[in-house]
Amino acid sequence: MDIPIHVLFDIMLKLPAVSLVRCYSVCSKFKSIVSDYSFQLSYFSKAPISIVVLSDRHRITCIDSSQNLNPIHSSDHGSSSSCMAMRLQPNSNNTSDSSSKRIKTIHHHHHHQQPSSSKFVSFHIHKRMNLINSSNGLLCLRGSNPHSQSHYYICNPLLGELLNIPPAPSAPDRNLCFSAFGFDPKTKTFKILQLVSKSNKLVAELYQSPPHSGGVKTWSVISDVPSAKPKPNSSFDPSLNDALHWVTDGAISELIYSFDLNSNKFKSIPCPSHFVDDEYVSNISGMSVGVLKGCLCLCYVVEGKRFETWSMDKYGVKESWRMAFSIDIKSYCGWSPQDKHRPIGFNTCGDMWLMADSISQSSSQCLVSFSPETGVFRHIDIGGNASNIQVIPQVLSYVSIKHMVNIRRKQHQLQKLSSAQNYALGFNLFVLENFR
Amino acid sequence: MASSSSNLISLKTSDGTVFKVERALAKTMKTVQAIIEEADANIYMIPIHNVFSHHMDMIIDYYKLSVAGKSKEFSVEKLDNDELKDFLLAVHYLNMEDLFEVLTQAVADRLEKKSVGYVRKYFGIENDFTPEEYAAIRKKNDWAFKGDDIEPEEDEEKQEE
Repeated sequence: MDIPIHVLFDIMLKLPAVSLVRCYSVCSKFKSIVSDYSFQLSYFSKAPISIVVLSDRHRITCIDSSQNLNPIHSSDHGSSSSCMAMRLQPNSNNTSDSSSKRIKTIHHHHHHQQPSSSKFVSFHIHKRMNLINSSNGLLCLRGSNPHSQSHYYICNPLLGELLNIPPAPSAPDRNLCFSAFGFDPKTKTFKILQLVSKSNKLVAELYQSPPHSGGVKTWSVISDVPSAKPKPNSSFDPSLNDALHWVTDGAISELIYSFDLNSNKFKSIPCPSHFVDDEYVSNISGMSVGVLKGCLCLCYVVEGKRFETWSMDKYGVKESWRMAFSIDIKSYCGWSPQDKHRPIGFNTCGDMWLMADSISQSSSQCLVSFSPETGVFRHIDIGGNASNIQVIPQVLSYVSIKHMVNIRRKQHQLQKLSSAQNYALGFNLFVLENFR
Repeated sequence: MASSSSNLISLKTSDGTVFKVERALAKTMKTVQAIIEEADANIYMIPIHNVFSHHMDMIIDYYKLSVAGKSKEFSVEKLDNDELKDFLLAVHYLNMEDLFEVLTQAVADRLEKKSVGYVRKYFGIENDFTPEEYAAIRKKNDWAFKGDDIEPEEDEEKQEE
């Protein structure tokens, strides 16, 4: 080979994930580069945020965001429709200012289904699951079973690996208020927090995976739980900066709560300064927290009319809250976005993903992406036969769970999921340039 | 011809051409910069092996564009695959970070949707897997080989012989 290895390494770091997988079969040298742990880590550190879909509660699919973000000629491919939205200037707080522009509504409907490149991979899971959240390349799932204990699993959805976790001590689904997971790649450990309501009090249970230097840790109860109850579905992307975040039904000073995964302590996060009094808060609906471009973000709807996203540029600093963008709700162009208060997540460029009812197929859902820069909503049909679609943002990683996490045989079992045929999912295939 | 300690540095390419370049440009070439710093007397001429005059032309083009803030306009489209590879190796030899990033990205872009056979040919590599190994790897990652924008694998027929 006439190219030095490290030059080859640099080239491969820039290949999109699908091409990288093909590199396994080029020759044994390429295979060893792609399998090399430090290569996988470097690749992961540059990887864009993609999407994982759990459909029918047992089928998990990764949808890879292409690293080559091509400009908009994506209307050539697959079925897509776009719609320009009325966009408000980010720094204004009122809807009627002169800086808002009304842009013409554009609808493209393409009826020929061009099956485009299948940049996704699917696996079957043997039991019914719910998606919890993703953190640093790993995914957390919870077995869906209304009667028994909570069984959690850690998954690498790109490689189809599933790790069992010892079951949580407590009760069935109905008492579960909030659960989230955080993974620390440096220590190769992860923690799962579960907030459960028992006799009308909130109990916090934490699972800590064993550290490298021995010592068996499993579930323990955490004291000093805040009394403010978590709001359901209030956190679309809870894991950030080694902490988990959610919204509560408490007073303003306790609206956003966090759990620090290093100190195992609860702490409230200050709200933006314009959250002055209860009256303001009572005009707000659908508050949720997540991550936007590496910062904690807060999304909510004001007076049922305007959707706002705020970003906390400096973590923990109240003055650093800044409005990232806002949308006039009417300008969802007549779709009825489900759960419009709660985005699914934000991609690496800052475009927002949400679920909406599909225009072309009734009673099915589709994924929508909104670009704050252009004000364009783009919808992609993923409906068809799949019901109960849960979607979360995730950075896809090639590193096996074996290498990411310290596994203890007595507590954990690592299994390989069986791969699923793509056609049965009912996805209308799409080109990933639409994901923006 | 002595080069004064002015702002120009003389670089001599493998094909014997001498380029007088600004010191600032020479600074982007870490290899050259190291040579300049090691020599305590005046340097008359720095030979740069593995770099040809057509490479220097492109390097100077890139430098001019990036100084003007237009580095995005730099394009290597007109180069064929071998020329691009050579250029990449020349820039690698000179240790020029920014241009190296641009060129590795250009190579990655060209390889992105190509078949495994194409990639092998591009780098001059042999398939050193046994047919069984190859079949196992392909089976495991089958999903990555489907899709209408990916070139089909010519070597698939060969494997079935």
